[in-house]
Amino acid sequence: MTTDQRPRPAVEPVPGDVRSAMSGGGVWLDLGLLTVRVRSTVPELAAPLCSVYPGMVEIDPRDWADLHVELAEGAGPRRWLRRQSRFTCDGERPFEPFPADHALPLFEWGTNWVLARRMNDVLLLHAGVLERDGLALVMPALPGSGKSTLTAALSLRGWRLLSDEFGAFDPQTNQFRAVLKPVALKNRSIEVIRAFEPTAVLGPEFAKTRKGTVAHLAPSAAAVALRGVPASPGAVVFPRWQSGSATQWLPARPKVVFTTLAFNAFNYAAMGASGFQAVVRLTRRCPAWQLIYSDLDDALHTLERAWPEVRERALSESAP
Amino acid sequence: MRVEALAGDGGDEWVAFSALSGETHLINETSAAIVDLLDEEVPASIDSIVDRIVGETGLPHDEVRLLLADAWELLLHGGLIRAVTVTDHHGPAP
Repeated sequence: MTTDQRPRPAVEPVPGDVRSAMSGGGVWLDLGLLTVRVRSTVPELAAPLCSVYPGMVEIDPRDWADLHVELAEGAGPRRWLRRQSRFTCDGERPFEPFPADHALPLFEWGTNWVLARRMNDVLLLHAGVLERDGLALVMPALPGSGKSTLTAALSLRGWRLLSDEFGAFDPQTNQFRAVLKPVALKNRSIEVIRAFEPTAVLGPEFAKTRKGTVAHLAPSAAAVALRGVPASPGAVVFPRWQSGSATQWLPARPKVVFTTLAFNAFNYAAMGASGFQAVVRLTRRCPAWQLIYSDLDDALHTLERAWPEVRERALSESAP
Repeated sequence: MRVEALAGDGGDEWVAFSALSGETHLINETSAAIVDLLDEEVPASIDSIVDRIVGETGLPHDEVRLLLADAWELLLHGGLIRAVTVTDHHGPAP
């Protein structure tokens, strides 16, 4: 895996150029931890891709890409009645075709699927990760947790987004690395985030997907600019959205932290002893809490109030 | 077998990982002490383990034996230890 340190072009490619490049040699997306080469003959992909990966789509060929993915239009006579897009990576086609105008969700889910299975030199937690003060806030994804909503909200209030899906912990450096992709918001979360921050840059809404309506929140310019910069472990927070609940901030026991991190990792078993030791280190290093909330603003204030303790603890542990 | 405490200051929450099976187990401090005492290559009798813990902690013999009584089944069931028949002092039966 590489992070290309070449200077970025000052002018972003326009969707027309991206469309043209994708139908030929492809475009390159530098996500921080890895680079993805994208080729596509589906014209509907270019515009939304540019809108939710601002400053990240490159037309100039790179020497290396970690993943090579392709979206192609469906074949056969049915394509004249209902155009489709198919996701392929190295001959694998993990999903049934999507309608052509749902090319972006297909690209996102397809890429996530491949990433989760192949990135085995880092511990890949299923978690949202944001950075402040050089420290990572890790929020493992439990069903119905509201993790993406909280991740999106924090990213709109100055926390640097590293990833909404992949907490990529490098056991060699003991740091989290960015896997920077847009935050996938689903159903009611879309309106929650629009109301929370009216200036938020969201891509188009895609209705009637397998997860309902989805829209993608673009990462901030700062998150894009710093995607090559890692973050040290800071804190683990298990968010749980609960309708009508007052905000609760409860310490989490180490065994709960360990089991949740391990069982939420895509590749814990595949990494063997290295994954075990990585989760042990995270459990020891990070203070952890459960955050139960229904009011997004109040949840953010609670996190903000707790953060100095995280910072102080990290400072005291790094002191000689 | 790797055994680690989950809290920096020890505590009663430990985890054990078997590289052979790839399995991870949450264990308590007593079980962690037993696994730590065992050598992966050479079997040990219950009496010898009890004697070693008595020697290291100074606790009464009967108390240690009682303390360990619940741990054996859990450790065996989890595959963290296994019972062997010792034919001589050099190692387990084939």
